[in-house]
Amino acid sequence: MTPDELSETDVSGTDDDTATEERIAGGDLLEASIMIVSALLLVGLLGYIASQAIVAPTDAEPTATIDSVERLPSESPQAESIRVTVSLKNEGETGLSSVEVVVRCGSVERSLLFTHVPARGHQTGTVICPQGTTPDASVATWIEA
Amino acid sequence: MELGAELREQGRGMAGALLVLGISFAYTVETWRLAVDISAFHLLGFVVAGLALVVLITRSVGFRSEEDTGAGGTDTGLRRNGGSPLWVEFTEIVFQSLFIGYATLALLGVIDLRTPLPVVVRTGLIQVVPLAVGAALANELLSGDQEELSEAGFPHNLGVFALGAIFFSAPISPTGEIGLIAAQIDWTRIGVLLVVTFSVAYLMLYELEFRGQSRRLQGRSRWQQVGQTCIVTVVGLVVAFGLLVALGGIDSEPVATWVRRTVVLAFPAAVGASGARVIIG
Repeated sequence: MTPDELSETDVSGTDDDTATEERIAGGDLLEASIMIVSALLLVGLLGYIASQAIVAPTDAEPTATIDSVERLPSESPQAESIRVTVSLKNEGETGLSSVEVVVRCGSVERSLLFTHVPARGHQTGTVICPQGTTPDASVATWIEA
Repeated sequence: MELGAELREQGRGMAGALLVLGISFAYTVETWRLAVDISAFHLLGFVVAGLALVVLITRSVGFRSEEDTGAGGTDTGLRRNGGSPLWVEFTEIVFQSLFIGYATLALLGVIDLRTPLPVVVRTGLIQVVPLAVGAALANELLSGDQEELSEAGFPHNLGVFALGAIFFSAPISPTGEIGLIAAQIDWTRIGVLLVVTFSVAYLMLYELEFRGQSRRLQGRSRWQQVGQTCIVTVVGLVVAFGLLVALGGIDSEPVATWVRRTVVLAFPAAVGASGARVIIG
């Protein structure tokens, strides 16, 4: 190999090394960026959790409200009924392992059982009531988690 | 043995107990109820048979370790010089299992200061068998030559973390235990759980001398180690959240519920991510 060929080889080898070093530096920079973003995300999450923990606890009882009342379609087997969606809210600081909600539709009573309702959480349930009644929901019993 | 080395050995057993069988048992409500429902005779038989299995495993692992040392094999320095008597190792394993079992269940809100003592004792006896099996196997599965693994560099290590996180948390994510645990613990305990998740990941990767630790430490400052642990924890959180959306049905829940359930599931996910790093590299 002539000196010129050797020097060409050296130059191309140096180019490869430089490219590799640039890739490694770029990878290190990206990894460092992801580390910083991860750390910030964790700190932010801890901050959110701390803010939730610090807010003055309330002994609010769970509440049940009627979200919507819809008439069932005429082709449905229960065409003379209405579908009542009930929303249960737990504004307290303690989770509830179970909550029983009673829905009164005129003279008819329906019961909904919600389980594992977290603190400051809500769940929805549905009952079928006779058409022409005005549904009313109330919390009957609950068990704290 | 100096205090640091002793603590590392105990910590390794506890982490292994969690990794091998402990988390899946701790996150199963039926095992909590067994503590109340099972008869004393049945419980006694379960504990005797289970711990007899642990003795066999411990004896097998201990025998292999002594043989390697005696034949001039690689002494990893992870066991006491000359090996400990079987009864000492067995006692340590039972202690590690009870300690980590009670700590995990207290963290998850399954037991607390109001729990009746008989239930606490029974719960510990139910959990000690699977945890002890895990602790006994941990040294065999997770220790070894510190240099024997090639380390997956960035960004391939993200795939390793995600794989471990999914492997551990996917079976748990659609179960009711996540919602139950998230509902029964307060925000303070949620925060403590997140901190413990980060701490366990850090210990498994950089302090307890699991397989490949020297490679993981090589060329990394303390801040970089903390940064890597942040990545592992966030991968656990992301995987947990993704699984809950896909399988756990949290999309209709408020943000506070998302956060609670994600943190609860992120604990096994992050332990799995750290374990994958140890086992796969």
